[in-house]
This record gives sequence, structure tokens and C-alpha cells, in this order.
Amino acid sequence: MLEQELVDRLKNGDESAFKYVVETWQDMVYNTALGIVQNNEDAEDVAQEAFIQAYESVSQFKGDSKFSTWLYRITVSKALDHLRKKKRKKRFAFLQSLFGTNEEEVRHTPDFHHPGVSLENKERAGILFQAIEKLPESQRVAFTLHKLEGLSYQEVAEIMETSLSSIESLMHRAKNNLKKNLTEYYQKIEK
Amino acid sequence: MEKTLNSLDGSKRAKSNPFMFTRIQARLQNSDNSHWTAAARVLNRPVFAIATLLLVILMNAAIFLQSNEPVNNNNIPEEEQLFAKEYNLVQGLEDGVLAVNNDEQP
Repeated sequence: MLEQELVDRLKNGDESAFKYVVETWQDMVYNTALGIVQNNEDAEDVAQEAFIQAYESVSQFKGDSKFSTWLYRITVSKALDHLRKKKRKKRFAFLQSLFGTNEEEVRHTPDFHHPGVSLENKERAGILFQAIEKLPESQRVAFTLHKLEGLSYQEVAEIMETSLSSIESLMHRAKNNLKKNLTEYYQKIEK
Repeated sequence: MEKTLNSLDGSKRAKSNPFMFTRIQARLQNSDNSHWTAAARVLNRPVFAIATLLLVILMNAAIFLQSNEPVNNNNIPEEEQLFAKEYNLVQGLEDGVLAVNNDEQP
């Protein structure tokens, strides 16, 4: 199905077109969300929200970029929103715990394992994900899109609506920060 | 460390739930998009709560400052001042009512 035709059908509320969109891009959306939120259930939630948002705001899609690029943008934005909400919840839970009124436990998964990583790399990838979690948002997004989705710097630049040189510098900083985080981690283990 | 940094290279895409479309459909059907729900969503935002709190604090401060402002006698009409002087009256300025000056009463 041609992209323009697909978008037109979506704009007309065609449910079969929406089904086609979900079935075509659900792994891409889920994998991106999973890389950012690092939790299976949360990623499923984010992926669903991203598709709903795409369905409801397809009229805003101008066709300046590929449809998949637009979907990536929505997914990244939803995943980051999710992380911010989770952080707010954690802070609130901390405040509640100070007053002894915290009854609801905020879920936290310290040992996240991505299902697509090979067995031999599983442990190392788990450590890397912990380090990625400490990165600033933009570095985290760029690194995840490049490493997990296998996108080129140019494609990452299009998704993040920035220049290629910005992405190059973002990735450089991300790698430096990751090295720093990993060095600290390994030094702690050695002690 | 370099191995850890490159441990995501060659990883495969995670597979999503095969029933994702059905779940999205259910969510779309259950979502209530009435005006009241949208309004409640806006009212529930922390930004709105903070803005309302600031507005209340500002209104309180404004009222407090206004009530502490010294009353300017020059604003009282001259006729009223003469009248009060003639009948030994002190003006209850805050109430805007003329009160009898008890000190000068026999």
C-alpha cells in the first residue's frame, strides 16, 4: 500500500488501514519504547498509546517525513512522557514514605534484559542498560535508536528533528558518559 | 568495558504482543472523550494546581496590602470635615460612618 494512500485512508477513519499500520510497525514501536523505558509492560503501554495518538492526530501528518519517522517521533515522545511520570511518582512516593503514608509501591526493574540480545551478551547488555538509564534524555534516545533499532545517524537526526552534526556530537557525548558510568560500575565491583 | 559498550550490536528487535491491535481497539472503545473528561484532565495537571495556588496567594496579598494602606484624609469631602468639626464628631473612616467622639462628650 502506498504511504499517501495509507495516510488518506487513515484520515478518513478507515479501521483496516489502522490495523495495517499497527501490524506493520508494532515491533518497531514496541522495540523503541522498550529501549527507552526498559520495562516490558510499560513498553507495551507506551506502544499502544503511541498508536492511539497516531490514529487520533493523523490529520497533523503533513507528509514532510516518512510515516515511520513520524511514528518513531510519537513513540519517543510517549516513552519520555512515561519516564517523566514515573520519576514524578517516585518522588511523590519518597515524600509519602517520609510521612509514613506510602502504601503503593512504585515498580522498579533494576535488572532489565532486552529479549533481542544474544545470550552471550545478556549480562553485559544488562549492565549497559543500567548505564543508559543515567544518560540525559536526548543522549539516551539517540543511543537507543542507533544501537537497538540499528538506525543510521542521518535517520536518528530526522526522527529527532536536528542536524547530522548534532547527532554525531550527541552520540560522542553519550559514549563518553557511558564509559564514565561503566568505569564507575566496574570500579565498585572490584572493591 | 568496550565489550559492554558494544553488547547491543547485532541485537534483534523485541517482538511485541501479537494481540496489540485488539488491545488498542479495546482502549479506543473504552476511552471517554467527553468534554468533562477533557476538562478533568486539565484540572488534574500539577501546573493548573500550582497556578491556582499562586493566584489565591496573590489575591490574599493584594487584599492584605490594600487593608493596611493609610487612609488619606484629603479624600474626605470638605463639607463632611466641616460638619464633623462643627458637631465635635470624629470620622469613623474605615467604616465610612461618622462616629461620635466620646472624649469630648461631657
